[in-house]
Amino acid sequence: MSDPRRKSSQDLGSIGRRVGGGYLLVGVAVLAVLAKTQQLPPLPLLLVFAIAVAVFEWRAVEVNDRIFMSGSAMVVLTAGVAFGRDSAILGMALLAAAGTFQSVDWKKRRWFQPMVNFGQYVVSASVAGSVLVAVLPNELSTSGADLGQTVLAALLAGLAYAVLSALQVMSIVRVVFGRRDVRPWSGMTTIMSAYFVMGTLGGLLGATFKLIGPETFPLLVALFVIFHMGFVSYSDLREAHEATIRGFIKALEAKDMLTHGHTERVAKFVRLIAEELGWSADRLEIIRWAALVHDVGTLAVPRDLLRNRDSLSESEETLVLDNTEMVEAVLSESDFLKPMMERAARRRMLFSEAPADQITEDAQVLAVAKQFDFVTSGKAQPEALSQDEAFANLRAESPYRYDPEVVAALNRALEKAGLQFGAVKLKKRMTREDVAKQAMYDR
Amino acid sequence: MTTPSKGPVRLLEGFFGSRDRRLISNAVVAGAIALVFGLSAWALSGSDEVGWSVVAIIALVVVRVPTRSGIQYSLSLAAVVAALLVLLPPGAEQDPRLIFWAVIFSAVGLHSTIVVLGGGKASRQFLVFLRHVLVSIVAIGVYVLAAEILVDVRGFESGATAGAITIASIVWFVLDVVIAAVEASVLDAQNLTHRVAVGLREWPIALSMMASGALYGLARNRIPVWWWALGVTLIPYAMAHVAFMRAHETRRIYRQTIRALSRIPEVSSYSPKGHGDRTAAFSVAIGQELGMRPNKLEDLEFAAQMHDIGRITLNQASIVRMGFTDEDIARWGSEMIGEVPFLEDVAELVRKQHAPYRRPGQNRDADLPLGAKIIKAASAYDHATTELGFLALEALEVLHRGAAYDYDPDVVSAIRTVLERQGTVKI
Repeated sequence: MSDPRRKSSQDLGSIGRRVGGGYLLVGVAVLAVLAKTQQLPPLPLLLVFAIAVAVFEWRAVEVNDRIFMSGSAMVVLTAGVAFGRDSAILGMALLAAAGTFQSVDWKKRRWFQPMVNFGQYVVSASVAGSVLVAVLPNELSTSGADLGQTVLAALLAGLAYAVLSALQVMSIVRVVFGRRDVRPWSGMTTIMSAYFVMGTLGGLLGATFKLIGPETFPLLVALFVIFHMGFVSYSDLREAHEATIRGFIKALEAKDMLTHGHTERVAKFVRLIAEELGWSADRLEIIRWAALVHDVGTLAVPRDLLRNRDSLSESEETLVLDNTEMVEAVLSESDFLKPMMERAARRRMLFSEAPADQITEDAQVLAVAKQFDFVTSGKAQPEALSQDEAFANLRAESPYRYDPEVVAALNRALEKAGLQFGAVKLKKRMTREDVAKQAMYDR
Repeated sequence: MTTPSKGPVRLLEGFFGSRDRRLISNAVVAGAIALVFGLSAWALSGSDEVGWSVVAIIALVVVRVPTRSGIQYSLSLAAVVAALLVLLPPGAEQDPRLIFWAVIFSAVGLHSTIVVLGGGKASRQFLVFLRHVLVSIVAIGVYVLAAEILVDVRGFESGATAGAITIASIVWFVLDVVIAAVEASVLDAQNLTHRVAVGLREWPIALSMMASGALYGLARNRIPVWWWALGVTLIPYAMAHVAFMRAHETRRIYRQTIRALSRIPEVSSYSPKGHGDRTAAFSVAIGQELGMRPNKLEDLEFAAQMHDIGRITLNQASIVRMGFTDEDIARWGSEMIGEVPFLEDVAELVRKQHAPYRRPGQNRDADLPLGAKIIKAASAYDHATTELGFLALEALEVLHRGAAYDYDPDVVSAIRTVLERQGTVKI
């Protein structure tokens, strides 16, 4: 089960509350109808599966940027096949409801998410259950045709589940968060293939359980748990890794060794641009890392030299560059930081001279984000520019220094998000000479 | 993480966790050996089940999961469990010849595959071979015994199977870990209890393999559709495998990042080159000797690696002019590391790295973590041997002399043991 957008409930307003409440009611209604029409599956079995689902959902894993996944769909489908036609739909809906709470929601005291989750999961699971029941063979036997049909049923149910959740999440996002957040699904293929595999597996495991008997149960649980543990440890490490880099940058900024807030803002701009350009989640993650570490090279440079950059002698200028490159060389010994450092180095290249490949494309995004922050925060010239002036500045240099498309993308993204950076008031109109002067400063 | 490759290649890379071009040739070699041994096993035993089992066991040696302890578990483990269940269903009439052939052929085949595929010393490979054979034979024996006893006592088949699998699997895993630890302690001068503790931490990987193997065996025996057992085993196994691989890869990258960050002050010549690496390696050896737990040991390693990171601050001329002490460096470093919520314990070690273990007229400082004392001594040893140019024995003498207040005598004696075991110092 995945949920690409997680927002705090503070900024939702009455629409959010109404949608949340409505979903809650829909979920309860569906469960009530199912309880009338279907039989209750054996309770001990239901309980064990429900615990598995709750644990999986509680600890949903961030696979890559903002896409949360858990193996609960697999457990739900396994249970559906194991319960059989008479109680599959009710059982699956009940199990899905067990996954309402997630630790993130609990930690942040968000109530909108769980309410929507409850309704959404129950609806998705009951539709998936109906698909399953429609395709499932009447009596499960060990013949190849029956088994094939079972797997097919689980697979289709898995896909139905995925599609339905996706549609619901998208429409909820559209209604509640307004237009600007409508493109969250860059990882759709990953999710669909994951559900495909989980559906197949659910069918296989459920039928195995039904055919062989309870002795497979501990084995199934062992596999579920271990699978979950593997992904949790992966996601924990990933989080620790990100926190490490972020923490270091923050510490260095606090000690006034890197420009304050610069990296975080650049990372934000990079994300905006990349989302506007429609990059995949994996790629977005890599470039966000690059944005975080891109300035670490300056640590090797005595701080005083960096402060008065204008009055550097030639030998001091070389020292700055040499030291920066030395640190970048060390960082690029790490497999992970290597591409980032390459991007950071390419960033200094002029757009018109750079070779056309993916690294350059990334580097361009980084370059534009960095320059935009420089001019709007007043680091590049005596006073900060307003957002419009900054874009005028970037556009003036753009064909040679910066990729015009990237500049345009940043502009669009900021407009869509309604964000304003830089000096608030336009003090004077920028003339062509001013822009040219600005360009001189930047060099 | 470099240029992303596309489609199936990426999927394969993710699964095998390696971009190694040799993988394909390895697979071909393993396949060929497996076929030869499988065919001869078939011919000699007269049973195609034995032949196929031997082929599977040997061929699967290619797919391995690396673990934190450095032991590489291969999928063969799962295959052996599966083969056992197929060949020796409890309660059925057992033909001892089948077991005999399966064991002999699997072991010899595994051994030759490992020797052909892996480099390394032949003598070491032979030990690995002996370990595999020994562990397999004991585990199979335990399985047969447990199945017999459980069938007699409990009288019903399914529970007996599950029980026998569980018991045999635990024996198998523990035995493998203990023997591997003994091997490492005798040959690589490593601490025995530490190796055992580290090895036992890998139970999820071993368990996932056993579970998939058992599932295969059960499905294969009871459901007469050939693809069913494969699907039911391989899909969950592959998913677990990918999870472990990704975790392993992320762990590797994480360590690299920590190391890269810790080297920034070194390349900027604010601290001696390579000091962090050496101190980390030495601290870990000392920590193992003192019986620290694996989790603590990881914290110690990170802290030792980064213990001088506060020196980055020295790029501010004003601070250098004002003057600073070692304690300041430690404090700055720990402030930096403390920004990372996951590394709070590490920050604590770095902050206390300069505290003496006791002050004149007082007892030992009970709050001082062992890790901090280890880093203090290890760092001093490295400083003496590299920058001051002391011999190892002289450096040890320096530590002994400082044992009144600076260096904890327990740590110093552990250092002595480590150095003796490594052969650096002969006393």
